[in-house]
Amino acid sequence: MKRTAYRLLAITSTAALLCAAAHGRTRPRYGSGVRIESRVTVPEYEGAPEVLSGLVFETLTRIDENGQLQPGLASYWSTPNNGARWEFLLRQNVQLHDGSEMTPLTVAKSLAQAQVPGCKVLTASNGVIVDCEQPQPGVPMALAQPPYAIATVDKNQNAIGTGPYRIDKRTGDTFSLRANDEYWNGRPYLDAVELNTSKPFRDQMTEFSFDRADVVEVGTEQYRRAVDQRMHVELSRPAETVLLIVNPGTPILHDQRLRQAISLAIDRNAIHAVIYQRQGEVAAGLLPNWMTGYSFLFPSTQDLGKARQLKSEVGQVPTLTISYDTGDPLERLIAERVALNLRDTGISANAAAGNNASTDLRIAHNIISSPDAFTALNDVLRRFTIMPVVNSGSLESLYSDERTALQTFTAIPLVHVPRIAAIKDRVRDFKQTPNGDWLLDEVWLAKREERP
Amino acid sequence: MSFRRRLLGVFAVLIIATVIAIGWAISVRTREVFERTDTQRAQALVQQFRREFTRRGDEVAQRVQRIADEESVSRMALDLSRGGDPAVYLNEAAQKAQAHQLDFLEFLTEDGTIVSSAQWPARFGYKEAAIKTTGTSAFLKREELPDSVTLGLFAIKAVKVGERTLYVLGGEKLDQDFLSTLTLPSGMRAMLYRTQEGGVSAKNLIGLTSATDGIEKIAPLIEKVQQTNEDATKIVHWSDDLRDAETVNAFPLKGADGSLLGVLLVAHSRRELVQFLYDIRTVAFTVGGIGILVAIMVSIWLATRITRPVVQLAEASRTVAGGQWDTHVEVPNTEELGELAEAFNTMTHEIITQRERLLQSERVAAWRELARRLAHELKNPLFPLQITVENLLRARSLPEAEFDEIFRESTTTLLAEISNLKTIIGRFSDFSKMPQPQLQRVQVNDLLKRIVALHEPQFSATGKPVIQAELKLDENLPEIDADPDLLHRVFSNLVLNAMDAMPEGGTIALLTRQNGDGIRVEISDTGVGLKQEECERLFTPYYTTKQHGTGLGLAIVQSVISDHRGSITVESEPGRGATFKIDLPRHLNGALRADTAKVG
Repeated sequence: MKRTAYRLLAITSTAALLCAAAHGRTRPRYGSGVRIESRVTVPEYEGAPEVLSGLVFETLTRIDENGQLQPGLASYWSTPNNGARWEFLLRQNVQLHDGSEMTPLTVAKSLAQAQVPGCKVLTASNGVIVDCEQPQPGVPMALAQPPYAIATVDKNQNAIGTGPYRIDKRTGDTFSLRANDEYWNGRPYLDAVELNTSKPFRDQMTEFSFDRADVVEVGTEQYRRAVDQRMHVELSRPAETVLLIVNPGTPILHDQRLRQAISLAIDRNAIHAVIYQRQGEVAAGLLPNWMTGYSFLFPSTQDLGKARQLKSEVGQVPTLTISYDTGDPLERLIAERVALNLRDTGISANAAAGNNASTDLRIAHNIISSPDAFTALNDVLRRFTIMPVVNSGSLESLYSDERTALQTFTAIPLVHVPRIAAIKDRVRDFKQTPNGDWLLDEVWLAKREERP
Repeated sequence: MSFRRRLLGVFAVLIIATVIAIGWAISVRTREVFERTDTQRAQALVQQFRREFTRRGDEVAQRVQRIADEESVSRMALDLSRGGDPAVYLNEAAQKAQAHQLDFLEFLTEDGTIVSSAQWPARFGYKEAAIKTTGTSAFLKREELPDSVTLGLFAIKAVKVGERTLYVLGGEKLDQDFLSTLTLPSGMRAMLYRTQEGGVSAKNLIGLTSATDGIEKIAPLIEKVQQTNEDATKIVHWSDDLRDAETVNAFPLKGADGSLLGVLLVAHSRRELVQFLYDIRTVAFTVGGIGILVAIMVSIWLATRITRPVVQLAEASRTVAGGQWDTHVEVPNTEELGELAEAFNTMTHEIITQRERLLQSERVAAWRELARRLAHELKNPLFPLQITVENLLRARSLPEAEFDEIFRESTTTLLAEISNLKTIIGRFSDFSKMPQPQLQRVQVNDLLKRIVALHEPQFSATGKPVIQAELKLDENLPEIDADPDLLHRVFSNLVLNAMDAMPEGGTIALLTRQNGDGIRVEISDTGVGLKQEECERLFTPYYTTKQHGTGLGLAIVQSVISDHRGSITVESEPGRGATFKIDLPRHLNGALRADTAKVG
């Protein structure tokens, strides 16, 4: 018994020592800077790309790595009437990058500029009120999205926010960020962050290989190679949807039967299995299954017989053009594959370089903007379909709205793919939200000899 | 055409024809020789191209074999044979194709499923029919691409791993780049036509190098190869300049299954050949031209030399015809022409001699005739004169009263006969001095009417047989240029002759009508007529059929008609009267009309 007690004591002590040592190696370290490559080129706001959200600009609410809504610039929020009115209590003593204090007016102006659909933003003494015409339960989640980050301009008309980093310099698509010593949540660990937003995946990987970048995006087709090369890669859940967008302006495509024939002709499994190397999932719905849980209910298998039948009902179809983004090699492959599939049904189609919205068909990517299905669906419908925006928060209505949108066959989902990041070993505390957004505000850099 | 020109023409034609024939024969023969040489050269070039084509095929096969031999490909084959994920090798073909400089490369499983495709990466999972074509040599294949269909020179190699096989299908595109990399002799070029459905189209033809080229020029050749599936050759003229022409050899390009996939066109320029033929032709033309010029000059010299005596003879003949009888020509050295010239000279000499004799004879005859006529004419009045004078001499012995009466009668007779003698002498004098016509516009119908009116009393004189006058005058008879007095004298003379020819009475017919550009006047009678010999001598001076005629009337008539550039003939038979036909011109060009002269 005593021997056993000693043994337990020894094991416990050893474990404690090991834990202490481990804790010592992972303790955050101040200083240095990281170089980040990302080709996320979503629309800019206030002169800065959305990828800077969380670093330079912050939102009232934020989504953590578990997909949970967390307080951001708002320390608390509540609704007195089931979502028709939302009251956000702002944090105290939050300074903007020019040293001025963040006020309810600053926040209200920024939100008003971003426009919350169906709502107006009002100021209160210590916060802001989002007053909606109809109940909108998703407002706190929506306000966690980058477009609703709080931003204003300084006296030099430069965009400023409240984030842990401030914009030091911008050269083209390269942003040099500097640590905000007055950050309300404490100075960030890194002194500087350099962010480039222009390089394609392949070039990013080259930069990474030559140690000229610490965090880069990885194309899905390169995932296996990165793993084979024992890179540290972070894989999100399927967070990006590849779609075939049908141009409603093309007269022949007004015929829903032809749009449905196109949808049925596509071999999504081949695209998923070969082009995306089985990463992500075949897209049946506009949102991945992990977000809604019902995506598998939508058909996604190729049905050439029915596609041919529908095409024959339509009659003669002129040669369709499928445009793709020349910067993305996978898009070309997808476009050519879809063209091949369409030829199998008797529809002549050609892939054409240049992501031209006026072409008959085009390959498009939708980055899931929020882990909230309601918000994400709203976003994708707003971007790619002619469907009205959904306004109900129930799962049934969400399913119904998505099914209705899918049956228009104007935005045909092909695959949902993960967002992948390659990270240098010395980069610590890099986190991703479930929808693949990077959380960089707590990143720090270990010494080169340290191992994670 | 003159003899000289004819001779010159014959010489020239003969020489030019000879030069042309020789030039043509040389040109044709030379052309044949060079065409044959050129054809042999073209065949050699085509053989060289075929060898080059085969060599390129071997190169492709070697490159594909090298890929098949690579360790990474063996690993891939092994992985796939063990059920590995083919998706991993999606980009493998593109990388290998780039590394081995192949336009086409695909990795295929045993059933032909595409694992990876360099030329069409999106085609993974589809079947490739060329899997059935395995062998060591390269083959042609029509390759479908995302946006087009092209031709390629392919080779397929197998990578065996255990019981499973991975196929490597690689190739090179038959395009402009391929054609440009072929090592071709100078002046030769290659074109490639990719056979498609429908007619021959320019978009399927690779290798047209200039704007002057046109698909329509070689379309018949391509179609011929497509129809016969055999080699064909054609000379293609790309422009009007023959030097731009090319000899195009067309070969069918067949796939592994024997189907016609394209037509290879190997063209080589005919510029050198055509230029050479041009040069030969230029030399031939120059030499021929000079030869022709020399020939013409020689012909002229020869013709002149040969025809000069003949020309001289002709000129001498014209001189003789002009009245210069004492003309002589040079006697050339040529035997035949010399004899001719001597004969001509002898002839002119004889003519002169004979003429002198004839003139002498005619002159004597004329004097005799004149003397005879004069004697005859003078004898008639002289005899009464002699009788009268003798009567007077005899009457001197008669009483004065009788003598006076005889004297009066005798003097009357003497005066009458002397008057008669004057008249005879006056006629001879008139004939010797015929006046020149004083021309003016004359209406002959009017003239004839006046003559008939003048003689009307004599036609119906009492105690004489009745003579009837018939006028058959053309009312549209034009006026003519004539001397009315002389014509009046002519017609009056003829009317008087007609009256003399009808002692028993009869009919005198006067007829006028247009005759070509002149007029015809006919005066006929129904008198005794004339014999043939009389008709022939009727217009001879001093010839008459009358007992008391001088024989000068009709001679004067003919002289006047001749002075009016007309003619007169007579038609008659004994007992059937006579008809005098006078033709007179309407205008006397060159003759001065009297009224015009007055105006002038």
